[in-house]
Amino acid sequence: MKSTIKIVAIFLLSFFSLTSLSFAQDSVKKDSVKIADNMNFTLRNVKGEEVNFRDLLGKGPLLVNFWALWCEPCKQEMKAFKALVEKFKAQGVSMVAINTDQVRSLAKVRAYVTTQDLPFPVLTDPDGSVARDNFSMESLPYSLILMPDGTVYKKHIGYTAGDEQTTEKEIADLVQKLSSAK
Amino acid sequence: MSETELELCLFLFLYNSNSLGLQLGELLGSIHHTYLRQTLKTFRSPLLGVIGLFVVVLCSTARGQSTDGASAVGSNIVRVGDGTTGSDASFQNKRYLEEIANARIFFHSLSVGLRYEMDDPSEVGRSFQGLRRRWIAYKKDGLEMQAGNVTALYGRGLSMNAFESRPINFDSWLDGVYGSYEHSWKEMKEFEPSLRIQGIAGKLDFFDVDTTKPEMNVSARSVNVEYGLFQKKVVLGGSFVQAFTSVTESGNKTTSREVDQPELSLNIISGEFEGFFQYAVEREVLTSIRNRPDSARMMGNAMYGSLSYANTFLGLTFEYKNYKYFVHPTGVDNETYFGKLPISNPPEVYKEFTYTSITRTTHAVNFNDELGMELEANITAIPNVTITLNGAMSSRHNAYKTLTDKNGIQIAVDSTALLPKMGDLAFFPFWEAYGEVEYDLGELNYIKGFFHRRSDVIGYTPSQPGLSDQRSSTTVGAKLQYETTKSQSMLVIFEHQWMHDAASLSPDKDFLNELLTLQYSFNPTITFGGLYDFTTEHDVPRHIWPQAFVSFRIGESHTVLASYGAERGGLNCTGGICRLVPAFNGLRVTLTSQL
Repeated sequence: MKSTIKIVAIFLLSFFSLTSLSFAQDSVKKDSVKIADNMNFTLRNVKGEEVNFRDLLGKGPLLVNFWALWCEPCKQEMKAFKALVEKFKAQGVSMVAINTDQVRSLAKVRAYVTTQDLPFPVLTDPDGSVARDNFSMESLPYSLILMPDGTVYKKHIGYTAGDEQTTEKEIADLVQKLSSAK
Repeated sequence: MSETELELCLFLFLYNSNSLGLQLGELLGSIHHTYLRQTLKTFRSPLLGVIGLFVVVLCSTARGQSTDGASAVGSNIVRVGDGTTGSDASFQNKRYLEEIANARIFFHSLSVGLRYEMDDPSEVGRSFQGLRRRWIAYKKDGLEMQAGNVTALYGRGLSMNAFESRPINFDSWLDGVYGSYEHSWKEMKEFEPSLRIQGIAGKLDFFDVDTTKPEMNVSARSVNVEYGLFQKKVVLGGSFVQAFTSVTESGNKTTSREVDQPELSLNIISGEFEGFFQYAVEREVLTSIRNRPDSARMMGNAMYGSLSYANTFLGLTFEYKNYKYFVHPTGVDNETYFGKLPISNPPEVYKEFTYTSITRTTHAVNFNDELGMELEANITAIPNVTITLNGAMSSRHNAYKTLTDKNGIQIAVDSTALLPKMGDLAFFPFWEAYGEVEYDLGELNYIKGFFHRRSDVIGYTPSQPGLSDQRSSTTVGAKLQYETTKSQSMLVIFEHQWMHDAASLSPDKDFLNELLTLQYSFNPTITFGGLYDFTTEHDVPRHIWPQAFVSFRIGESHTVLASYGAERGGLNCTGGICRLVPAFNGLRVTLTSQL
């Protein structure tokens, strides 16, 4: 009986995974921007204001960076992306950072973010539920390049110095694709 | 938690904890064929499932993506370990296999979540096989409803913060329903008031990280209301949690408890300042003790506050805690029945470190009886230099030393204290100071130096205070990250620690710990390195723990992390809940896929 449950569960998950593949599409060619359902959520920024994630989409490529205070590589990655986003700002590239620290570190997040003088919004996801449920985050550092409709163009698990060069190439490619699709 | 920065804080996230992070484990050595066959035989059945999932995961090009009306995301983690555990004097074979697969389907306002887990067995704690999570949720226009496995967080979690930590096998999610509704009156521009109501109800079969403790069955329901003003710059909150718990011990004897927890919270953001305050009261009634009707009562409370100031040059955060969920006047025995609910998980109020030497002996918070404070400063006023300073201290309200109650237990109660008592070991004083300077060498290269000093009382002996278990340590270290070429980088971390362990069996209570971590990356594909962990501690038979590790990215969605060697073990803490993880010697492999 247990084996049957295992097989059924594995089959279901496999099915869901395959289903997700069938949903994959080349959104670059879309004429109108339709935001994906899993991008409809609200988080608070470090100033306490509520931000609907959908409002960040639809304009151009969006770099999403998940991080936490305890994650040293995450902070290095965020620093690297800061320079990257400023470089591509004119091409409509923007960025949002999502903090996934647990409630124990929440009080320190705002102070840290403010001293870093980051030119992009930093949202807080105190129990990491949005990161897990909407972006299937399992480890940090984790970053995504989203297309205007919220479709994932590229993703990066982990970070070592130099990885940002790959990200830079991918953003440049996406900018080019989007501009040629217009 | 570690710091090896193996590019993925994979363990660190999984372990999202204060410890062991870099104690990775072991990379493949020479395994004899017969041994390998036995190992595979042991894992055969689950391995088939894992391979099945792995193939699906591997074949995917990793875009859990959307089409008109539906989207999906998924992830998969496989963790395998094979080696020995325990002290070198009495080690045991240790094998574990953990498979965790997540899937989320979104269809307009509906979403479904599933998580399949297969421990055969798990690395720590109790094993689980089956659907660990399944829920369905509806979200639209400020309304959110979820049924199945649910969690909630009220304020900073003094009365409700159901959370899960896989590495220590702690899980306090409820099986029930959750709902929330939020509305903002945006037309009232000056005040822009808002109202948020959330509630959760459900049941939980809770297993403590201490596996000798009996299972606790919890039935809880609660509501939280937050009223915001000025675009939530001011938020006033109130909650009420009601819970019924029962603990069944040997002989089928059950102890039942009823808990009521009202609480208030206030959050104010004004310019460069932010303040938060939360206060909860816990009223407990034991309705039966070991099958006998009873009416023993206990009143507890918990307070947490934080105040922060931040501009682009200076960030200051002060936090204060005063947790008295259960200040036990007759000793700790009744803690099995009284005390903090497993769904209440407030902040620890000390720093989360990223250096292995510091986290190995981290402070374990006693949530039922502890008060303390923490101050952290982030300074970026000097170009290319980032300075982090942190200090924390705490103690218990009670001391067991001067008076004697009717049971002959020495006790002195001082539950009214608002500041920690640092001068008397009987109050379990803890303090630490930390300083770190990072110098930016340009091109994302940097060098860091840090200093840390800690003193903690682990155990107190009323009759002979001099024999109390007090540990103190001083740790210094340095860290260098350097890009050797445009696609290659290296990381070096060195930690040196002077330890004093008053409870050591050796006449010499002082010893040294050293840890060297080397890592080299060929971006973005391969990272490899090693650790050299060394001690002069007298009480342990082993003094060197070498490790090697490698991580390899497969496409953009999959990462394999393997380590081989010896891990020293230590305290693994998440959210203040700690589990002592024994030493491990062998191979660990983790495959993570994020779709």
